[in-house]
Amino acid sequence: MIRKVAVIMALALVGSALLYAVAKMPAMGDAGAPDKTYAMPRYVERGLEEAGNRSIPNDVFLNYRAFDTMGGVLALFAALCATMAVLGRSRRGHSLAGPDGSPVSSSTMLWTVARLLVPLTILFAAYVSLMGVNTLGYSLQSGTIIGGAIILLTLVFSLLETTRRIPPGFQVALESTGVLLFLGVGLLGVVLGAHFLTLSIPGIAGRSQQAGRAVLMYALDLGIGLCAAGIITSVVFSLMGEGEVEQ
Amino acid sequence: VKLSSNGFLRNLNYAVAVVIMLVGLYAVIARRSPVKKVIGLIVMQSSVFLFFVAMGLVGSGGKRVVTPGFRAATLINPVSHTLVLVGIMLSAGITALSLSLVVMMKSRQRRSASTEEAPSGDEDAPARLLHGVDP
Repeated sequence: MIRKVAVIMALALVGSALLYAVAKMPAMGDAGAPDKTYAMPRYVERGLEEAGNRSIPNDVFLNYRAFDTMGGVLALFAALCATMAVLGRSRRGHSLAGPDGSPVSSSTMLWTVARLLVPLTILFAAYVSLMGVNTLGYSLQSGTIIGGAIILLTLVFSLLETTRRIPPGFQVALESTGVLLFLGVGLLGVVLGAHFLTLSIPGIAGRSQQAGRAVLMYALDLGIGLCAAGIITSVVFSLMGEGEVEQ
Repeated sequence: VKLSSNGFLRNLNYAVAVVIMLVGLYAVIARRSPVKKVIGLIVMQSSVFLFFVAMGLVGSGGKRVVTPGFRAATLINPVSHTLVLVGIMLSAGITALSLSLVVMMKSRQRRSASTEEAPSGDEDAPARLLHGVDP
C-alpha cells in the first residue's frame, strides 16, 4: 500500500514537472523556435547541393553527421558484443517440444504461408533499402524487416532448421560487415587524400563526383542496414537457444 | 503556477508524449518482473521519439524530401528526425542487452535455487519469467 502511494506520488511529481515544461515550450510547429533557427537553416537550404541527397534527414545522417552515425553503429556493435558475452553464441539449435521441433505447433497451412512470406519480406527489405536513398526510408528499416523475416522463420521452422540455413559463420560475417563497411568508406577518404569520412573523391569533378558521393552514401546506408539485420538475427538466435538449453 | 489551457492545447502532442512516458515509468518502478521493466523502458524510449518527431514539425505539416524548386519554409526539421533515427538504432541494442541480462539473472537464480533444494519440474519457466514470480 505504501509502495503504491509512493509510486503514484513519484509519477505525479515527474509528470507535473514535465507537463509544466511542455506547457511553457514554444508552440508546436512554430518556425521561430530555437531548435529551428540554429542548425536547421543550413541543412535545409544547402543540404541538396552540399550533401547531394534529396532526403534532408538522409543528408544529415549519412553526410553532415556521418561521424556521429559511425558512433551509433559502433555502439550498436558494442551492444551486440555485450549480449554475446552475456549469453554466448548459441550452438546449432537442437529440437524442441513438438515432433517437428518447432515452438509453434505444426500445420501445413502455417508452413506454406511462411515459406511464401519470407522471401517476399526479404524482397520488400531490398526495395525499402534501394528506394530509401532518395525517398522516405533507410536501410536501417530494411535491416529490421530482414530481422523480422528471420524471427518468423525461426518461430515456424525450429531454431534447428533456421541455424542450418543461416550457419554461425554467416552470422559472424553479417554482424561485422556493417561496421567494416562504415570504417572502409571512412578510410577510403584518407586513402584518396582527403579526410576520414569525407565522402568525396578528390581530383574528379562535376557529375562523376556526385555519382561517387551517392555510391559512398549508399554504402554507409547499407552498412547500417546490415548491422541491424546482423544484431537482430544473432540476438534472436542467442535468446531462443538459451530457452532450448534451459528446457 | 498558472498552467494555461491554451499552452496544453497548443502542445497536445508533447503532453501525450509525457503521458506515454509516465506509463513506461510506471512499468519500470512499480512492476516486479524484469521483463515488464524492460517493456517499460521501451515505452519510455518510444515516447521520447514521439516527442522529438512532434518537435520537428514546422507549421501544420511538412516535407523532408526536397524536389527541384522547393521552398525551404515547407520542410520539417531534419535534425530531430536524424536524432530519432539514431535513437531507434540504439534502442534495439539496449533492448537486446537488457533482455540478455534478464535471462542471465533468471538462470543464476534458478541455479542457486536448485543447489539449495531438489530440482523440480520446470514446465512453467517462461510463465514465471513473464510474471516475475520468484522460484
